[in-house]
Amino acid sequence: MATIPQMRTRHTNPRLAYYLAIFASAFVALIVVALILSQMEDGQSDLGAIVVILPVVAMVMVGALSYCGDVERYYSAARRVPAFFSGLATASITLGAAGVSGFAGALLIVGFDAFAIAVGLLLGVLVLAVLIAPYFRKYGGHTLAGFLGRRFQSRRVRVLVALVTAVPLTLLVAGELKILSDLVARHTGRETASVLPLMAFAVALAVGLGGMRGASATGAAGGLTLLLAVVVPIAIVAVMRTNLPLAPLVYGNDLSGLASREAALGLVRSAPMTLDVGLPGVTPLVITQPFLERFSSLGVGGFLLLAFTIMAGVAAMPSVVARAATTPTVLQTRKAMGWAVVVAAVIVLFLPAGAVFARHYLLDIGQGVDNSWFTGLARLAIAAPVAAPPAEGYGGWPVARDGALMLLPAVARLPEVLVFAVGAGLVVTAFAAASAHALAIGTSLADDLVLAYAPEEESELARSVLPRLVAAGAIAVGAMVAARSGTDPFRLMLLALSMIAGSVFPVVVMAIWWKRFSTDGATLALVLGFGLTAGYAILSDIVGLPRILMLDPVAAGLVGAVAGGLGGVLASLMGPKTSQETREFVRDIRMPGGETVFDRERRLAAASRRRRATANVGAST
Amino acid sequence: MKKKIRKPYWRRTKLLLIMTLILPLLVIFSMPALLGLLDGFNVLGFPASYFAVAHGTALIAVAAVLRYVTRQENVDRWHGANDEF
Repeated sequence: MATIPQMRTRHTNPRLAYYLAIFASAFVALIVVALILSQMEDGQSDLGAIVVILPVVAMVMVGALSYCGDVERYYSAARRVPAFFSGLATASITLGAAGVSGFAGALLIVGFDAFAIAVGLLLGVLVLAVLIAPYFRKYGGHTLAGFLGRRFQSRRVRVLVALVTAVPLTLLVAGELKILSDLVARHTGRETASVLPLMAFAVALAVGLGGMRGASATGAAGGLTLLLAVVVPIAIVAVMRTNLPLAPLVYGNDLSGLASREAALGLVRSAPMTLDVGLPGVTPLVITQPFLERFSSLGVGGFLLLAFTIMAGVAAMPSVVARAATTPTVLQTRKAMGWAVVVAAVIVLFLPAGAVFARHYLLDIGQGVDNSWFTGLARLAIAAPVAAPPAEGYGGWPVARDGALMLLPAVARLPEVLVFAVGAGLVVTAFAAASAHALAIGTSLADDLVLAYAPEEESELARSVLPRLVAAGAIAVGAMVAARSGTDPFRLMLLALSMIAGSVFPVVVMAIWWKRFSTDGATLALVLGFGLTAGYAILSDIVGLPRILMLDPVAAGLVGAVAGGLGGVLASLMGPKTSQETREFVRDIRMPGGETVFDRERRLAAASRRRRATANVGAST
Repeated sequence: MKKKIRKPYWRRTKLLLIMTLILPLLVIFSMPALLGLLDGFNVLGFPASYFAVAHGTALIAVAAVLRYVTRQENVDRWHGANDEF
């Protein structure tokens, strides 16, 4: 029999706080022990491998210990995740290791213009908190496709959303797996190709065993370690340079000093086209743009389009929206989203300070102070190997975008273990994000495509097994994408956000906020928006056709959203009105109180089945 | 829920939504134009235009979400729209 939730008010899991405290203590203890060992040993050691491998083992164990036998826990962690932990998990999944590394690297290499990413990420979580999450929680289902299918009472919309979101979610899995494997490979001295299958298997194991319950625990662990990995090294460097650890408030003098030094070096801004998005790729680059010069790598239009595209993509990201249903109540969901914004804001406030400090150190080194740490940087792929010592300034010193976060403790001459610790923090975050995205694909494709209309009492085993198999398949496809040479995890993330922004965002927002929005409107918006964004990305990035007005596909999501949204509005206005039942559903999800809609409908359906069974027995006797 | 409770509740919720989102969205949209006006000023040792983007966005987002969560809770309570209280 299916598990039908009986309680209207669910209590949070009190043990989650203990588990997270144990995980955080173990992580800090690992770094401290590694620091002690590093002082006792001379020469090369395997400390880097130990510091990144043990957290991966711990994440698999967290997934295994969160084993979900019943379907309810696998799909929604039985809605017992406290707001703070859900917020931590939401932040870590939203940013992801690809996002944090990409943003940190873009800040280091192009400076000011990288704030388009931060603006988009922060406002995306805010928009999710206000426009989508509380209403999805009141519905209480497991997937975004299921929510929209119920809203429009349409199997077509449900299947379409499941298919459309599977593409960007797979790209997100691929990006996180790529960065996870790269980091583990560099710290263990192996090739990414040999590490990738192992990491994919580890993520699949955690997802298969733990489901949403495990993803909640690994997500919260990812958020906490990400905070530690970002805040601690930057705060230490801030103390070294300014005597105060509050880096975001105290790097003003360093920023002014950096502007003067870069002006003396003769760095000049370039003039991009209006819609240009000149973000750095995976190839290490020499810094050529002054940090404070705005709109020197991204044009004004490109900056705004990218920010709004990321915002819309984050707000409608299916793996993040699904998290909204893991808290006990609508009120807790709002608080969880509030915590997610706070955590993301802390990270976004600290990273620019780290980039400014790192640029100062790079200039010091470039002027011949010391470059003895060069070998270590090249080994961890933080910078590209160069034959000769770097020339004056940034010249001749190409830095890797995705190694920027690890660059700061290295160039600030902090113990090497702290460089490994930052890598370990990113590894945990990548693991958590890959798990969450893979879980969302598995749940959606299994529940919305295959099992949606199967009789519930007959499909309990299938509901338990199929999402796990589909998630494993999605991880395998993601690993194949990640294995392609030259795969850029940050670009994959931005492309995925662009596709989500162009297709799902206008549909989910209007589904909640406009009762008149019809099935035909939603179908047109999905097809048009996804067709435009995904088609443009394929034509531009794979076929190699020239870009329209220099518009980068990663910033095209807003165009797709506007086109799809307008098409959806027109189709809704021209078509028949929505049904009374649909309008009642929308009214219902807008009210935070009362029983969760999904639970009530399942309870009523189960009662109806029981009545029919009783009637049949009565008739036969 | 009865219409006479639901309607005013939803009206206030929509108003709160607009008040929460309008400032951040307007700030971003007008950012390129506003930044030029801030050149030459300093805040806490930072160029004001840089501070507005690097710190301002994060602070506005946090303030907006905190305000939204507390105000929406008050709206729920006032209209009796949430039986958690």
